[in-house]
Amino acid sequence: MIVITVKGYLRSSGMFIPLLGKWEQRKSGMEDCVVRMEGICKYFGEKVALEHASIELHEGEVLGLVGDNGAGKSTLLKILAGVFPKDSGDIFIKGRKVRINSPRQSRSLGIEMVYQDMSLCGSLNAWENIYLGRYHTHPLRRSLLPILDKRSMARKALQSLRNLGIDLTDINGPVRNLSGGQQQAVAICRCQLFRPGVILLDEPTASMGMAEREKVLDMILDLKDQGSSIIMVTHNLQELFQVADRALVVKEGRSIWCGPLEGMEPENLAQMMFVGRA
Amino acid sequence: MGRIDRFQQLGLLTFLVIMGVLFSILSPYFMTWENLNNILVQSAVPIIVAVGMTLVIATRGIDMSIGSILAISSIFMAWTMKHGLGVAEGISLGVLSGTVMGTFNGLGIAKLGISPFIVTLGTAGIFRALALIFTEARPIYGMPLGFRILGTGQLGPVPLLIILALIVVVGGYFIIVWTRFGTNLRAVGDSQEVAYRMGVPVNRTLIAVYALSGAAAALAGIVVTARLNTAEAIAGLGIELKAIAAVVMGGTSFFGGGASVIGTLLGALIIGTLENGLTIINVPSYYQQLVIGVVFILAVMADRLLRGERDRQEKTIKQEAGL
Repeated sequence: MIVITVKGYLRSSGMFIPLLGKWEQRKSGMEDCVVRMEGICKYFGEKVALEHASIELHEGEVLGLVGDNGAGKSTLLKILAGVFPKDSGDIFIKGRKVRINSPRQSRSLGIEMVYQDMSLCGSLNAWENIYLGRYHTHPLRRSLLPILDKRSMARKALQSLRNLGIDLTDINGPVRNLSGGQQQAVAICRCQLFRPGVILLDEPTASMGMAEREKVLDMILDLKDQGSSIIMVTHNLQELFQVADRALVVKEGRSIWCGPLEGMEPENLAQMMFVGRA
Repeated sequence: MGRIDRFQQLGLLTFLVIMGVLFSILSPYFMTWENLNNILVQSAVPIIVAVGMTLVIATRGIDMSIGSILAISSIFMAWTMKHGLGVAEGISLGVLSGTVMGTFNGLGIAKLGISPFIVTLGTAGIFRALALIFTEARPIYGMPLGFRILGTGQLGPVPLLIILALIVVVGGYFIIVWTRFGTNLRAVGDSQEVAYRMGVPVNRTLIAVYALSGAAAALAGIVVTARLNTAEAIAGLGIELKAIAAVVMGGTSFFGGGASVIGTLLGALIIGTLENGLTIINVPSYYQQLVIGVVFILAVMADRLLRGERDRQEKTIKQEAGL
């Protein structure tokens, strides 16, 4: 259990509410912390994207990352995913300080990300997208030449998609022909298949219909049940309360509040997101 | 292979057959074993460079320097053989020089982030100039017998050049369809950003693609030199246009994401048949250039149309799904 003490906090309706942006943490029970990012700064030229932002993700939890547009939520996730390098700050994975310079490195640390745009190659088929960069191969006949094990990849991808409740009629067709929900399933399946410790979801239900949205939320809960720790960026507070255990509010590049969602009202969270306090 | 690819290839094959029938009606000399053999031998060089170009175009790139690489590597190969090196060593050095020049292109594109057209157009000029300076525009002729056999020899009834071209086609097909690298290059062509996010080594893939294109150009240089028993600085002039036309006609899109070596083979055979047929029915050579130019533009237009159709299909599917 992590106890968060923040300078100048008020206690209201069972929650800690920040009055000042700066926070400190007493590191009790830090051992169940899968990801810790401390004092992360990121600048894009003159623009400040993140300023001493911090985040903690516990084992097996869903942490909702919320904030106004341009608050720095996606940037924070992309730094953890290795897409952007941080300008300063520290990242710890299971207590070990790490450097993440590329998505490849991030993946090797057991971190997977589902991007808002889903990051699929439209002309590649579902299993090629799922196994992109991590192909199964076997030697050609008796030679040492490795060739793609297409059958194994297609079979496992199909099975994994079925487990997520998606039945593709044509696993070899280009993913651009799939519906938004099916594409999102492929993107989630790509993460889940490699059993990562940490899954980062950037607006996983953006631009989806109601039925597909529910399906994706179920998938997220399944991932949690399978033992993954998840950080989910969302604008939809209803969804957040449906799947997340805790929430972290980011405002103008700073993390301003973090706490459990149990017993909290969405209105309080919304106020914090836009006003900076409840 | 997608449905559109199969449809396109069937269309190309039909076009090739119709063209063959037309030319054989127009000339009794067209449909003879010697002439068909001649078409294949003449198509060997375009086929080999077009396979390399297929890999390049699949990454949304272009290589304007293949003609110059062909010339300079064949000169290098001929010069080394004339100065006492064996055939195998000469060929190896020639292919190696083409690979190095291709790598140079790849480094400029991947590491400096300069557009492939600009880099390869620049190096095309540099390599051609180096070839002219080195030879003082004089041809190098009189290759060793062991080397000349490559250009004139046969394995049974099949010329060695055709076998070499087929080996390159099979190699290209294998790379694209069955290797990690092949999937990586298609992913890079689809979206470099997505490929990078998914851990694909984008820069390494691009460098390797241009290196392979350079190697293919050097292999084509072997064919040209062995056939003519001469290496010259002006060899391979304009071969880029034929290669690009064959690739685009074959279904590999300028917009990346897909690559079809079989389509490229058919595209190159169509161009070869067209050139040969026009010569046989006594059409002057400058008209042939015109026809190839028109075919090239038609192929690019067809690519755009097909892509437009695909985008429309995509939109309809998404609309039907209520997205």
